[in-house]
Amino acid sequence: MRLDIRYRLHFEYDAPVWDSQNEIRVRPSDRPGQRVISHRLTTAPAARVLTFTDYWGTTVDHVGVREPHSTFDVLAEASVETSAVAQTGRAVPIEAVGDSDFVLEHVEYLAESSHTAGTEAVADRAASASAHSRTVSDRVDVIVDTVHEMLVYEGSATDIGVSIADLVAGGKGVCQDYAHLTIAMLRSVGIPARYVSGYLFASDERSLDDDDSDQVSVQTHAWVEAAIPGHGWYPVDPTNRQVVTDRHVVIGHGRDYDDVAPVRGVFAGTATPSVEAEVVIARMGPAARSVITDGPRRLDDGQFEARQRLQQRQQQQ
Amino acid sequence: MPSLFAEYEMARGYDEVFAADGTVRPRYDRIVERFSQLDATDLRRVEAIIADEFRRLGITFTVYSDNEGIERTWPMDLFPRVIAASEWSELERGLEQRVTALNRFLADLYVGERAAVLDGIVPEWLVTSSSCFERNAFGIPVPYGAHCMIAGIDLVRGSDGGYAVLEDNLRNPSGISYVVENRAAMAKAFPNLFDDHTVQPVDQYGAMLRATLESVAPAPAGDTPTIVVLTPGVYNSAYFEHAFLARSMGVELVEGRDLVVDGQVVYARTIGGLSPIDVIYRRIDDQFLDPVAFRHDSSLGVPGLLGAIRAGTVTVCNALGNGVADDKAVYAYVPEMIRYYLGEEPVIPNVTTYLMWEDEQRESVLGRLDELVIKPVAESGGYGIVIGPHATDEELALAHRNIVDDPRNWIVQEVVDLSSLASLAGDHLEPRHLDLRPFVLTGERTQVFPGGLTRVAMRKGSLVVNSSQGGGSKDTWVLAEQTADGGANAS
Repeated sequence: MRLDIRYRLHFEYDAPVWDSQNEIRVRPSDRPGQRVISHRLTTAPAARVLTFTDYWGTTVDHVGVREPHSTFDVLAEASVETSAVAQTGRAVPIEAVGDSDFVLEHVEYLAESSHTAGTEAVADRAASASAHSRTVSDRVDVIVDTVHEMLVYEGSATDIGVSIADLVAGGKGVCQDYAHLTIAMLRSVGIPARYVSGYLFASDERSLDDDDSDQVSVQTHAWVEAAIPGHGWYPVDPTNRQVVTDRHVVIGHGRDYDDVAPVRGVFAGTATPSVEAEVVIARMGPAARSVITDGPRRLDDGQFEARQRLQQRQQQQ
Repeated sequence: MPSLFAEYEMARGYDEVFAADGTVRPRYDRIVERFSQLDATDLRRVEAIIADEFRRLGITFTVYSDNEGIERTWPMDLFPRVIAASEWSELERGLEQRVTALNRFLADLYVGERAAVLDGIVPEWLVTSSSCFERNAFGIPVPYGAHCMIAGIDLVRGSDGGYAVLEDNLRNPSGISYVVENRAAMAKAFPNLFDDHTVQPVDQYGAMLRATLESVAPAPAGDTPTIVVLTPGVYNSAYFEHAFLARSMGVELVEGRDLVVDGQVVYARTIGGLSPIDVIYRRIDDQFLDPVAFRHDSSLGVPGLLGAIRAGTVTVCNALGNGVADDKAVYAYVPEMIRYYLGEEPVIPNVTTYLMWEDEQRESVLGRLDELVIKPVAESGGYGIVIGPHATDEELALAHRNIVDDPRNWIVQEVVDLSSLASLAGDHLEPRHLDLRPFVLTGERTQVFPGGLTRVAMRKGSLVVNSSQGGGSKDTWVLAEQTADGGANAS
């Protein structure tokens, strides 16, 4: 499937800021199941863009704006050709994840990370729910189902800093919360798991079924990959409880959100930022239309931490 | 007049001055002779003059948890440490070898093929589970592969007088300023003592450091790169040293707020406008260097610095992520790294270390933990260390249980009886334990600075040499001439 993705980020400050420095992770890169046909990133004010590949393999754009400014815009456009990847290894028995070479090879995807530090109760729930699973993939699927019993989808329900304990207590979340809880539970039962940031071509991230839109206006999406001994990574999308399809476009993966946050940045000044982010994805077929941007959705300002001198901004779903 | 040596009792382990039969080792001949002509009153008087001088010059160190105030005058014992010429050339060879191998490892890990990991020389999990493995440093090449441009290698001497490496410091090793200031103070206090010896000088450190840093500047910097020393500020325990380094190189001492990044180039804010910076000798930990990539709450660093390093417009010294090669677990693999990268046998051995994740090694020591030192891999600053001979049965039982439960978090080492050297205690000299931290500089080539910082325990029998815990220091002499104990080439 040929998908044209247009990612737009608009920062607005109530007073001028300066010395803005940012790492932006919104570019898809080539990998099995997807091929990048073209990509372009521009900013306003215009700035020199340094592009590099990070430890995890994600393509990163580094941008700084020194002069005082009251708005900052990032526009990233990509054309990607996707195809479904056949998943193998469904019959691998659960005992295989205990192999010491497999464990040592996946150490960084088994250790707790800041957003996936679970609780004993969460680990117990993962263990009891999947106690009867005989294969690795079945255990992954059962845990995804369990996450669905524990969370109800609610847009803008959480901040990115929420702990697993608070998330479970609140019982509400969006895609990154579903991903973090799934990862916490998978790791607690010894299955290496990683966080995937990307785009989903669906008008509603909760459901892929019967979606025949040609163009959607959404946000970035997050899902999970679990390691299956001898068969690489098994992608699952806990937000909609479906396997990953050719509607999913990967930006990158890491231990959790922090390794693939779409924007990490700071600026100097005391202004309060407001942020608008939108992703418009169009399916390009024989009768393709060019992307038409509709009105950006406004994010909740309360999600952004304001600091005295250095202010953090992380784009969030 | 009672001799300063009248009450001298040999300590356990190797005595630097006296051989087992009580005779003076040749390299100390003339020093012992001189000190025998002095009494305690003379030494106290000189000590007071030096302490005044140190106070006047602001040569201090900081103790964070001291009610008396945070600044303390630097303590220096007057009896110098002497290293014979050929003994030093052997150490020099060993240190150069070790730091070369460590740099090869860092370059391999961050910008190379990770060959040592793939070939099983260092276990991959040890690297990926290390809290000091800095993923932000991945893929950033450093000129000449000099990831560690300034290393401090802590050496100890065992009972047989043989040197061993206790610890590698590849991040921000401190102490060089005291090496230079101790020498200046000694030269003033005992000018005649130096007339008797040919001691290698130490006042060239600034020039040597500057040349090293100039050699790793990015190519566009030209022949006279602009260097700065980046300090976290006056409250840092090593601030005196940061000022010393800037002064001795003749460069600016800056804080993070004095620097700014524009278009992936670092500039200093000056009254004449922005001035480009080529090399930053930073004395700030990785985590505080750039709030974009690391801790967002840090105001010590320079936002965007990592982008500039990556763009190759500035060199930061030491490079990021060196901590992965100086932790307690990776330490154990350094001799293997030397064989692997250099095809040589290590000149200076490690202290004998047992890795608890290796079944055979674990089984060989579990029965005699009371004779050994048990160290957690993940902790630093001496936390969690169990000294077998001084531990209670409960502590040993707990250590045993911890090792069996989580073998990957523990190493076990043989106890080293540190060597000792005569030091002033009250009105006479007594042996006190000591170690040695030589400094190794790497740019276009690797050079060992003559001598290093000798740290000495100030209490009898104590093995604690840290200045923050009451330890002192000594001027450290490397003789340029041969002495009778200088080895085979002695004249």
